[in-house]
Amino acid sequence: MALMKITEPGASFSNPSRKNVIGIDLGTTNSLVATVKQGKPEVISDKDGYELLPSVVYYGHKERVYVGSDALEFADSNPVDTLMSVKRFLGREKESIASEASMHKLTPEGDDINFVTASGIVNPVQASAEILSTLSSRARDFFQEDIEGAVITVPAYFNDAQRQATKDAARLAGINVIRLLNEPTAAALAYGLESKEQGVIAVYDLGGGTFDISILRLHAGVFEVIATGGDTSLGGDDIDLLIYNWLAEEIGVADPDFSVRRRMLAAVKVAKEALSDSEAAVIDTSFLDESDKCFEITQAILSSIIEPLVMRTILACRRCLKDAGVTSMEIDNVVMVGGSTRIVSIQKSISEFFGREPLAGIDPDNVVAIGAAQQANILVGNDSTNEVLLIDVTPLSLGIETMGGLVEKIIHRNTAIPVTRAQEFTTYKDGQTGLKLHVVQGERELVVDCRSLANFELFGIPPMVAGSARIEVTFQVDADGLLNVTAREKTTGREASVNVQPALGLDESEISAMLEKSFSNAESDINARKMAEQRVHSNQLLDCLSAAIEQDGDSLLSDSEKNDIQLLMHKLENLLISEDFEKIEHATETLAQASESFAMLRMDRSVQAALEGKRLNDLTEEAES
Amino acid sequence: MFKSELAKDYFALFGIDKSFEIDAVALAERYRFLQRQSHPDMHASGDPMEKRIALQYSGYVNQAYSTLRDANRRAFYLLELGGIAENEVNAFPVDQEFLFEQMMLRDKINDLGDCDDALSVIEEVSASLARLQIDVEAKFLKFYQQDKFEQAAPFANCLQYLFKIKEELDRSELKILEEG
Repeated sequence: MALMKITEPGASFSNPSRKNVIGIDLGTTNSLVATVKQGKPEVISDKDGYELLPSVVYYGHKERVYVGSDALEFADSNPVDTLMSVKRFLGREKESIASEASMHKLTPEGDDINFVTASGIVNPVQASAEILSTLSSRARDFFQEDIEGAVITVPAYFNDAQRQATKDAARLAGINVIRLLNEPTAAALAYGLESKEQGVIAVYDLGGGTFDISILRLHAGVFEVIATGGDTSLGGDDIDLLIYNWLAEEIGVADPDFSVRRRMLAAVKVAKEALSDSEAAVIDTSFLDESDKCFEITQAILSSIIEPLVMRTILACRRCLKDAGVTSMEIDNVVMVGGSTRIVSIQKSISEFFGREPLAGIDPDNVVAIGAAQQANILVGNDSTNEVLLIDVTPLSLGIETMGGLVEKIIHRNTAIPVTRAQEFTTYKDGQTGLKLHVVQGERELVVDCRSLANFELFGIPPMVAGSARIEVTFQVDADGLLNVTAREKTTGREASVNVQPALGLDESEISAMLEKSFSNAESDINARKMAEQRVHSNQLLDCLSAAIEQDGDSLLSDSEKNDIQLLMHKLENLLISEDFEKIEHATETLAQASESFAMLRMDRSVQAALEGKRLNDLTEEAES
Repeated sequence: MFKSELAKDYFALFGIDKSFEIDAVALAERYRFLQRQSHPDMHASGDPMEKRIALQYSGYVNQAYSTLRDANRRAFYLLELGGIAENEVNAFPVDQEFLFEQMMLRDKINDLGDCDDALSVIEEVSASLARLQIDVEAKFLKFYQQDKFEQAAPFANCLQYLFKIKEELDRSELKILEEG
């Protein structure tokens, strides 16, 4: 295996063995799983033939957890233990979801959301993991084999905490996450691959609980997201709530109990769906004793009830167009995603705004999962004919807290990812050896108005006169949109250790604990597996490096650099005879870091060589034409 | 750090001449090409080391592209290559006439809220900004081409002013639309 294999476009994927991979749309209301079979995307249905899995988890029994329509059946009789729209709670603070959680009991302490249910305390990550594992076992039944990995979609506007929570849920469900993919990007991919068109695409995604708008440019097989915007608490659920409020007022029900409220909401939902292809619908309120009346709702009434919400989405579209630096006239295609976009008046408003009819052809409920499945297929190399590349952006600015509770932005929103930015800090006291940093995400200027992501503490800064230490903190957002932070003291070159305390959500030990609980394996089995994986990883690195040094060691490394790397290689080789996991892990990490700039130079050399080759091609093409 | 050892500068990385004038179409095309080589998705089945390098390199390409395609950031970057760091550039005073003109534009933007015909004022300010942009870019280019970096520096500052006014204008426009 080469240390830095440069993929030639066109010749890049020639993997003969197909891998079983899936795309999962973990939705607020419904979730689904898709795959690509013989070049055709396909939604995988359950054994009864249903594609959509209601994102509902029931915790009313001590022994067993129910997921999907099985769980939904308990919604009326036991609303408190039936967790619906769980995605709304993923990676969020208690304070920010007060009204949405009114159906459930929460533990009083802390900022984290923990539901109190008949089968114990449950957090949103666990509930989401139940949904994910139901889908993954559905896929396993379909393939009759294990699943190698999944692309899981998230709303583009999800912040770091919400993305991390999604990834944690997948891990808990035993799913290998190939990539987190933004929902609108997935939808654009699904359509883009079908039409092979180029141009500017707007994706209007109104899901159950979130609204996203993304503007993308498709050119020569590269999807570049130019800008994205939206609202993580605006969606179909809010539409239901608006109709519900209207209905409650019409009937004169002010503050019904859980069960009546839920039945009214269910009746509202049915009527809303019926309105997708008829002028009027009846809301069945026969379950209310005092009223045998049925309420009629027309397109016109629905349109006026939801108008403020639609205006909010259009405003977000305007903002996104501005960010993208394009006008609505320049949009070549509009893609609609999410069940709520079936509402006639929404389709009309959006067509008017963009001045063109949205693309139809792929079911708006399925389009995200299909795009995710295609991306999974491309990423693992199943699709040798496909040269599609997606370049996404970070939806929210990342910054750090400075004096006076202000935010200094380090990475601005709509920056293409992956991205790395370094910022220098210094000490303000003589002999100071530590430094605290508070990382936030959001667009506002005050820390209190932004989302707190993490508190970092740097240790091991060599004691110096105030202001003379130069601590470089590097913020890196990877292709999943997840943040990683490292720090280094520049005058001495010493790495300062970074202590990450997630401001919210689960820390590593909590996840491990949950994972271990979910495995029936004894602890020793888990350790043995970890050890085996580490050995493979270490040997891989050693093999790559030997080959790389053989090839480029003399031209890219000085003698001392080469010696340093080889010394570390010997050290690791010797350790690999032992069973000391921690030492092996550490030595591997050290070697990887020490050889990083060498690998980087090799990458640079081959990229530049490829660019050079391309330039020559350009010249010959020009000469020929 | 490795970056100084990589392709000499962003222009070299993209294989284009070091200049203030940029062919945006060619730049975008090179960008897509470089990302095809380096993006983590193109190395998704590689070993952990390969993935890590791809992440860094692709991030470097993104950084370079966002610097080169924006006139304001490109100007500062060229001056930096010419030996004047960003905070030093900021110390070069901007022409009084320009300062006056940009103040007038800011006033107009600030008064948009009380304006009956806000949308046409926005158009008017946009047009002025576009005219100033062309003018300032030409002046920067003239001095830069003669290697007179210190004389070019004030115009880099002008470009930054224009960028900020444009942002302000966009914000005000959205606010007006929001208030309907």
